[in-house]
Amino acid sequence: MKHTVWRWISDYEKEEKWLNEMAAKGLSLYSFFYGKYTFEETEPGKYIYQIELLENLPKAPESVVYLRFLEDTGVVCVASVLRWVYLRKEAASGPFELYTDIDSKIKRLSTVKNLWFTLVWIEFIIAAVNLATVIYAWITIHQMLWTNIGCAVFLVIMGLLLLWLGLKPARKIKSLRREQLICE
Amino acid sequence: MTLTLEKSPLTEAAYYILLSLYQPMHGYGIMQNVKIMSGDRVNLGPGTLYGAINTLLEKGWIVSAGESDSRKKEYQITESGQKAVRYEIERLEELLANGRKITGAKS
Repeated sequence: MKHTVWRWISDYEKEEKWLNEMAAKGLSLYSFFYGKYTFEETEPGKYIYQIELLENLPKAPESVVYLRFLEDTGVVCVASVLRWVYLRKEAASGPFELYTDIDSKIKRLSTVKNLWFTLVWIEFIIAAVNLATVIYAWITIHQMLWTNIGCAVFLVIMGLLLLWLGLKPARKIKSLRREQLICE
Repeated sequence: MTLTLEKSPLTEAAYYILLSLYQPMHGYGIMQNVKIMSGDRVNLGPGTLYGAINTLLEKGWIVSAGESDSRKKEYQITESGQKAVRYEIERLEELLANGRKITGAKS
């Protein structure tokens, strides 16, 4: 039996936790597409899930080689959206954690942080362009462009949300770096 | 290819990967081998292993050794990789000797 759940989770760590809770109950994700999660019924706890943000799109040669490598270790990619991949491994074959040392954990977090912060910049720059247009129109033709103001406000709110998403990995990286001074 | 870093301390992952590759082995084999060697203590994550293998390949400490029967890519340690391991063993021996001397812990 298939079960479909619509949900929007912007924090991938929360999403990962939720997928693992579902898997523990016997509902294992087997496809995902922009908010649409499809689960298959399996024995409870059969799979462990991890979500990763690849450095390239899944179809890029670098990613293909990496995903093939993961497959050889028993890790299967069940779904992908843009650069995000949904990976699972059978729990019977041992624990599943993609990154096990501080160095590679930092690298994984940096990829996520960079994605959110790049988007923050884009949102803020477009918001600034909108505001500049508003000011210019006000000075030259004495007209208030409410649509542009609306756009700018929306973009700033989106930007702040993305900033909040990016600050999480940024904080984690900072604490891992401190730990790295004395541990590996 | 830089060989100047042969004397820098290795990470636990790199050390165990290099030790595993004294005989040709594929990725999953390395993970299993490291787990057994370390008495279940070190579980290499596949992402960490992939990154480490690529760095070791770039350094020329390991090379691709073709494909196994199951068509999985195999790797093997090189002469400079073995040199790095020998330096690491010397370093670890120094650490051990000093640790034992000061704490009085028995071997």
